[in-house]
Amino acid sequence: MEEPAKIDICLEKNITYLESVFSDSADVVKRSLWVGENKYWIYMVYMDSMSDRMLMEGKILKNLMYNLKSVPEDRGLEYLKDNGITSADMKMVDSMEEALKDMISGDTLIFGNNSDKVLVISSKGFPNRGVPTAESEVAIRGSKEGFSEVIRVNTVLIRRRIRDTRLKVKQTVVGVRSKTDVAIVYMDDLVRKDILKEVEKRLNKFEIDGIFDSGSLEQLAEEKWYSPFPQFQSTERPDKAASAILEGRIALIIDNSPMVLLLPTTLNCFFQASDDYYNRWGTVCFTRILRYLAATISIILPGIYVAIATFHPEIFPTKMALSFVASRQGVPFPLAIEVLLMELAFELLREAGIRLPGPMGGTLGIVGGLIIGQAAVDANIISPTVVIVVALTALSAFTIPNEGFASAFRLVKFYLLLLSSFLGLVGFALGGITVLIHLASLKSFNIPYLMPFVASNINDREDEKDSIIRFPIFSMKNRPIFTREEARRRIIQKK
Amino acid sequence: MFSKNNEISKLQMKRLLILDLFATTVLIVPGLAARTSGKAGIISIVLGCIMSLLYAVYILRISQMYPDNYFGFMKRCVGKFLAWIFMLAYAFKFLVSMVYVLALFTEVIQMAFLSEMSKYVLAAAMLIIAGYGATKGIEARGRTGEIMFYVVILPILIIILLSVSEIRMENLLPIFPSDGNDVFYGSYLIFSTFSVLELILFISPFVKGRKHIYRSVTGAIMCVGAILVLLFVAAVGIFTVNGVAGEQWPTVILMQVVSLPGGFLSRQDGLMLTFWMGSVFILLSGYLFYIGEITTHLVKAKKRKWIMICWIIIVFAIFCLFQDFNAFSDVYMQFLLYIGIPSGIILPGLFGLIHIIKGGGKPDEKK
Repeated sequence: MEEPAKIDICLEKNITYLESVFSDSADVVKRSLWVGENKYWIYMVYMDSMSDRMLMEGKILKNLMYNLKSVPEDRGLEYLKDNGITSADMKMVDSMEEALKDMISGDTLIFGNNSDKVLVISSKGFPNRGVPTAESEVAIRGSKEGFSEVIRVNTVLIRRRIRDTRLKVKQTVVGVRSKTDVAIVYMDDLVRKDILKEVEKRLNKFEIDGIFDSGSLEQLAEEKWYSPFPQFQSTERPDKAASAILEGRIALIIDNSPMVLLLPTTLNCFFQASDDYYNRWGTVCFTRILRYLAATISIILPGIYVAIATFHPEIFPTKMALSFVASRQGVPFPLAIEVLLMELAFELLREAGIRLPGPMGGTLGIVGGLIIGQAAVDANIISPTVVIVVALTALSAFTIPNEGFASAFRLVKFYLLLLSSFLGLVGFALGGITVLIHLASLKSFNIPYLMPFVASNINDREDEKDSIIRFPIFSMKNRPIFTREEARRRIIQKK
Repeated sequence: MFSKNNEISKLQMKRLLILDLFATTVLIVPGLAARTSGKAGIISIVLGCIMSLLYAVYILRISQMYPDNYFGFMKRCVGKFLAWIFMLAYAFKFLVSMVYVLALFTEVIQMAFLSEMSKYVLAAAMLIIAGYGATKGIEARGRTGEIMFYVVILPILIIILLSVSEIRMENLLPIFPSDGNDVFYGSYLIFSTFSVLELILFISPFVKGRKHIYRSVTGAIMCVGAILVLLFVAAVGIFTVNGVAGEQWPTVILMQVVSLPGGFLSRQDGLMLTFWMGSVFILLSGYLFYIGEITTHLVKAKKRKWIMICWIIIVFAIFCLFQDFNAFSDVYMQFLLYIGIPSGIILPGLFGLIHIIKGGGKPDEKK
C-alpha cells in the first residue's frame, strides 16, 4: 500500500508533489507568491469555482500582498495565520492527505517555506441552487423551503429550526473516490444510543467508489434489501426533518442530495405530512383516515375487482353485476388481462410523464389519459369500469405523502392482482397475508415496522396518538418510541 | 435492542390463541352443538368453554414448572430417550391436526366459492404461505396475529350484529335440556375442538412475563366462547335447531343470508371466508412453527428453513392421501376423543408429577 504523502519542510518539494498530483487538472488554481516586506515564499492552491474567489483574491490575497510587514522565515505560516489572514474559519493541518481532501471540497491551501504544515482556509463557494422550494412534498400551510444539494445549507436549515446546543452534527465521509460528506444529525439527549451506534456501524460496513444520492446510501445501509418497502424515510422538507430529530430520530444528510434520510422509520411515518401538525386536528384526522383508506384502495382495488368479478360475481347485487357485465360487452380480453394492460398503460404514462419536461409531461397526461383512454373505451378494447378502477387506484396512490413508499404500493398492487387473477378471493387473501407477514417481520433499526399498530403497549400506547387519528397536540404529551426511554416527555402544561 | 428478543407480549399471545381457537371452532361448533344438544347447545358451548378453561389452567400450571422449554422439561423428567419419543409423538399429533385444518380449509373453500379449483392447488398455496409465516419467527407471528385479530374477528361480529333483527326467540327457547347426557357429551366434543390449547405448553416460554399469562389465556377462551355462543344464537335463531343441525357449515350459511345495509354486497360469505382464512393461516403456521421447534430440538438442526420445507412436503403428501373429507373428519374426531385429548391431559400431568416428585414442585431454576 502506498504511504500517505507528508508535508515537507522544503516548499519546493511540496510544490513538485502537488504539481504531479494535479497534472492535467485544469480546474486547479496553483500559484507561488512572495508576501511581506521580506518576500516570504508561499504557495496557494484551490479548486476553481469551488472556492469563493471574492473572499480569496479580493480580501485574503490582497491583505497578504499589500498589508504585511516582515514575515519570520522560521514560523512564517503561524505568523500569516495570526496576522495576515482575515478569516476566522481556518486551521493548520500536518497531513497532506487531509489537506488535499479539504481542498477538493472547496477550501484553499497555503503552503509556506520552512514549514511542515499547511494552512487550510475555509473558502467553499461553489455554485448551488440556494434554498429551493420543496417540490415533491408540497404543503399548503407551513414552510415552503426544501433541502438543497449542499450539505452545509441543509444543516443550516435544520439548525435554524432547532437552536439548541444539544443538536449534534457528526460528519463522516463515504465513498473511496467520491468522498461524499455525510452528516449524522441528532439530539444528543433524545437519541437512542444503540440506534446511533448501529447507524455509524452501517455507514462503515461497506467500501464503495462513490455515493451520489441518499438513495444509494439507503440501499447499502438497510437491513432487508429485497423488501419493496423503504426502511428509511426520505424527505426534502427541513421542518419534517427537524420534527423527526425532536422525536429522537436521526437525520442523515448526504452531500449532493436534496433528500434527507430519517431513521428509524415505521409504516405510520410515511402517512404523516408536515402540515398535519399545523392544521386543526379534526381536519387532520379526516385527512389521515382518507390517506389510510386511499393506501388500502391503491393496493387492493384492482386485485379485489378482478377476484370478485371473475370468480365470485354473486357477491355483487344483481343490478351491479349486470351493469359490470354490460360494460364489458365486446371487450376481447379476459378481465384480468384487461386490468393488467390498463395498469401497465398507466405506469407507462406515469414514467413518461416523469422523464419529460414539465409542460410536456402535463400534455402527455391529457393525451394519454383522456384521448387514448376514451378511444380505447370507444374501440371496445377496455371497459369503462376498468378505466374507473385504474384511475381510482392511481388517484389513491397519489395521496400517500412519500413517493418511495407509494412505489412499494404499486408493486404490491401487481402482486395481489396476479394472485387474484389465478385464485380469486383465495389468491387475494393469501397475497394479503404474505404482505402482512412481510411487514410484520420488517424492522427499521429494530423498531417494528408496523408500530404503533403492533406492540404499541411498549410505549404505553403513546404512539397510537399520532397514527390513523392524530390527537390534539396538547394531548400528545410524550415522544414516540424512537426517543430514549428517559426523555420521552414532550409537553409540560404550565399553570 | 428491544425487538430482537424472540419474545411476544401477553396481548400478542392472547390474540394468537384467539385466532388459533377461532379457526376451527367457528365453523364446527354451532353445528356440533345443535346436533348433540339441540336448543341446549348454548349450555354445551358454555360447559365446553368451562372445561377448556380448567384445562388451560392445568396446562398453565405445568408450563410454569419450566423456565426454558417443554422439551428441556421432558428431558429432565423422563430422560433424553423418552423425551425424544414423546416429542416425536407431539410432532405427529400436530401433523395430523395440520392435515385436518388443511382439509377443512379446502373443503369449505370449494364448497362455498371455488368449486372448480383443485383442492391440491389450494392446499399447496396455503401450506407455502404458512411455511413462510413459520420461518419468520415468533416475533413476526405475534405481530401478524395482533393485526389479523381485527381482520378476522371484527367482520364476524358485524355479521352477528346484523343478524340480530332476524333472530326469532321461539327458535331458541327453551334452552334447558331434556337429556343431560347429550349436553355433557356435546360439551366434551366442543372441548375437544379447543384442543389447540395444548400449544400453550410450547408458546408460553416465548411470552414476556409468562408468570402472569393466566388472564390472557382465560380471556382468549372466554372471547372465543362468547363468539361461539353468539353465533349459535344467531344461527339457531334464524334457521331453527333442525336447520342448523342439518347443515355441515351453518356459519357459512349464516354469512350467505345476512345482508349488509345499503345493499352494496348481496352475499358476504366469500368475503367473510377470505377473512377467516387469516385465522386458518395463523393456526397452520403455528403448528408448523412448533413442529419446526420440536424437530430443531430433536435433530439439533441449524437450518430451520429446510426442516419447514420437509414438513410442508410431508403434510401435503398426507393431505393428498385423503380424498373424502367427511370420512377423514370422522377419523380425526375419533383420534381427538380417544388419543388427542387424553394424551393432552395425561402427558403434561405425568411430567408435572415426576417433576414434583423429583424437585418438590418448585419451579426449576435455570442453571
